[in-house]
Amino acid sequence: SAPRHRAGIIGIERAIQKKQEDTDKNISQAFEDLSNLMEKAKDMVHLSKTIANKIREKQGDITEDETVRFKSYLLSMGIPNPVTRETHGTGDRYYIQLAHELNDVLEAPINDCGGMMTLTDAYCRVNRARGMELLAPEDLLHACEIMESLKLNIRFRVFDSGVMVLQSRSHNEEEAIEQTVDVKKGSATAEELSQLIGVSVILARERLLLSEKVGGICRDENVEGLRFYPNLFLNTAA
Amino acid sequence: MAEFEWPWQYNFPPFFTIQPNIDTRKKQLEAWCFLIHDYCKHHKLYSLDVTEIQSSDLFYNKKINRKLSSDSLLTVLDELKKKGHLEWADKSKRQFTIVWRTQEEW
Repeated sequence: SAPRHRAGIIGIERAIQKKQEDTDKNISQAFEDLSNLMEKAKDMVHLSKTIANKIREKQGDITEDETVRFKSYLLSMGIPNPVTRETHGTGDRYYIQLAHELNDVLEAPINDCGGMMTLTDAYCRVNRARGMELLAPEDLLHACEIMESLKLNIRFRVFDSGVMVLQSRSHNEEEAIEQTVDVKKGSATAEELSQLIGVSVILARERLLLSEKVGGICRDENVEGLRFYPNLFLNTAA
Repeated sequence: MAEFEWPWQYNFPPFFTIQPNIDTRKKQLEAWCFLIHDYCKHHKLYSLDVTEIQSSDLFYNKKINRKLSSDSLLTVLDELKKKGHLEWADKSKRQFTIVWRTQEEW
């Protein structure tokens, strides 16, 4: 019911008050709807837990269609529950599809940059290419984790330092190490090596650490930074 | 007295960083033990102080500006002790004696 138009300060004040009341009503309505929605979601979470328990009782170790469908339900609610799901089906249909997609999209770029790419780089590439319907970091990680079991051209790998990378199946580790040792006739830091062989600093560093692990090179740690030398300790007759 | 002849490792910067690779470290510590042993023998040193020796040219190569840190020095000395060429003079590991020959060798 719109108030009669009144001139003067009273009219203006009333108009403002009316506006405020409307806003208040909108806000409280929105919150009410939201809490209703959450109530419903709570029921769904509760239900899914009961189903998870039932599945555990049955102890199925083959990928049953039922489990797969159940997992995609959990996924759409945003409550992945890996502890109780892990034994029931190996990963989700969604992740399997995603892993295949990643394989197709990333194979060429990975080969372009020397057969290896950090997971954060891969995340950037995929999401930048998508524009919308972006991937969550967790989704990408899950998809990568099952890549090995799908026998794709790309492999997922975690270094000792915790850095995660995707590498092409054809990429040869020993060859890379040999190359690393060879490139550094003198000595190099991770930054220098990264410029020399054209990979990111993080990967150059991992490569150096890996070569050090197999005894190809050794380190010189000082105020100027961490520098790597050919391992004369092992390769020179004293 | 003839000039002391430094081993090649002494001019190799990684020599002054304890190596994380086990095989490499073994070689490195071996070289250090030889060097300390020869150095002390050459200069006829036997009783030494850790703080004093740390700044001597044995553990500080001014030419390549590399110095063995205190922790690394202790690692090296412990290795020397294991080989039987070193005796600590006190419990706090500040003074030690270099044994040029182990007891069996005497």
